[in-house]
Amino acid sequence: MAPGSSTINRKRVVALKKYLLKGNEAIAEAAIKAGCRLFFGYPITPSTEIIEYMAKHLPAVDGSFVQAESEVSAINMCYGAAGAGVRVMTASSSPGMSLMQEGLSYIAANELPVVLVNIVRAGPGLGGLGPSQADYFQATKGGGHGDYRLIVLAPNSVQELVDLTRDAFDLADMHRNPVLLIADGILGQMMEPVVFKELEAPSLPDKTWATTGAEGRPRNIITSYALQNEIGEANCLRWEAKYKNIAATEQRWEQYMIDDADYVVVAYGTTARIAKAAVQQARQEGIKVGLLRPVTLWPFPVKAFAALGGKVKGYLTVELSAGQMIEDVRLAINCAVPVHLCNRQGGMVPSPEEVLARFKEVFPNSVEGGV
Amino acid sequence: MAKIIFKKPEALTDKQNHYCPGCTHGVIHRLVAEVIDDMGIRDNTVGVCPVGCSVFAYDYFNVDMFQASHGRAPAVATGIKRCLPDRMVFTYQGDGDLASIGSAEIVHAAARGEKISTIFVNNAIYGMTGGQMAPTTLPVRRQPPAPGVEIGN
Ligand SMILES: Cc1ncc(C[n+]2csc(CCOP(=O)(O)OP(=O)(O)O)c2C)c(N)n1
Repeated sequence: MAPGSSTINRKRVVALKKYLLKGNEAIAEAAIKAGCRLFFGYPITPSTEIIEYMAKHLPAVDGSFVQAESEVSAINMCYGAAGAGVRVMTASSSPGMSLMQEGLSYIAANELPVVLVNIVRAGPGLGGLGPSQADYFQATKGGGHGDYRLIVLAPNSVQELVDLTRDAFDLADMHRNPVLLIADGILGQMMEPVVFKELEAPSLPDKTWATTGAEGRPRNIITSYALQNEIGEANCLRWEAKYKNIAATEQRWEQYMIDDADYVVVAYGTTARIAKAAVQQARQEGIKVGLLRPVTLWPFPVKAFAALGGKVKGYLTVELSAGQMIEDVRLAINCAVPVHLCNRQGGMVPSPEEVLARFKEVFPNSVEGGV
Repeated sequence: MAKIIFKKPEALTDKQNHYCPGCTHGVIHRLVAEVIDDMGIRDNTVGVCPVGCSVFAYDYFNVDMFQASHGRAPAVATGIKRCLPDRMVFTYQGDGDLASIGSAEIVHAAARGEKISTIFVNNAIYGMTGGQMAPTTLPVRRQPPAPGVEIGN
């Protein structure tokens, strides 16, 4: 079991058949298995297989798929469906996610459970179709207007796409908060064997707030508008308390060869796979380096860094961006030791050798006899 | 004994409305509420109110209400109706909301044949933000201050 904590604790019942699935299709199938019955989307590479899978398979489970006229509309359809109390999802890729930010702000403000998938591609602008992690800031720091947070999950294999998609729906219902699953074209397009685990469903709160028609109860209103500043502040304090609770209870990460590590490489998603290979090569050369892989990007797993205490002499983040997560690493360790960046951008991906070379360049003392 | 021949509809709350005299939102709210009463669907209705003067419609319609962002009410209503096909789902939108920022949402909800109802209130201006021109503003000649200014077109 990976370290960190979650309010979703499951007992495994049985493991089922193995399937060879493409990442995007695995997300869609996992969502249907998690009870997602509404999907609203607009096609965009490299996420389109999710939409196509949903269009094909939702009708068979009495679900509904709508290809919206834009991502602006798709996210607002999700807003309506979530308010009506049904499990709903949308998926897109970077330019489409940008269009969804206004709607996301409304969804977060009204505390509605929506699951979103961003199969990130290179940006800014129309960018390119290659893999990227340049939407980290948008995902973890807001993106839309106002003070809100998404729970952000960053899988690094097709199996984890499946497992975290399921968790995303439960976390969204548990905390009444939108949850974003963030991956890239490599994870979305590659095929790996997966199992759909039969797991106990966690106990989740009833959706007594849903606008379903006021039969037999006082009417429900979904609104975030507060012209009285006192009410506005009370709302903000309520949201803040919720986010603090999530930050305290939902940090997840994976660590590898960290116990005796003098140096730690930090990477999530695709780059964590590459970084792991680099760490293995470094270990063969006798370099004491480990890997810390954030699984939740928000809340960022600061507990993992706190647990490492003062033992670590330096960190290297590996990112497909100009360096975004590196800011959270520096904050997590209070800038106590150097934090360096190894990155490629615009759809390019570093090799394990490149990561190791960069590591040796920034930490020459890590190498036996190095200066 | 006195016989009640006229009363406030059940589908309206007791809250006094904030609308300016003569704007007609109050009258239109009442007409919508009377229809909801006549159809006996107060418990079965979800209303979506927009951004605009009628943003507070959720305070006045005594049904489950949902506040949408500017122009997006038909998309929100689509989401609700697709989940709850047996409920009456309506949007209540101004002309800035429906015909300007939300023109795509309303056109495509209609093109898809969404089973929602839309109350479109055209006051030919952006009321809430102070009377700016909307796409619905007619080309009329404003009299003084001279010289006359063409608006619209
Ligand atoms: C995205 C966004 N843009 C602009 C506004 C500011 N705004 C509030 S009401 C309004 C005009 C509404 O006009 P209309 O739909 O005609 O309704 P009325 O107020 O006339 O009833 C605008 C532009 C906003 N709230 N959100």
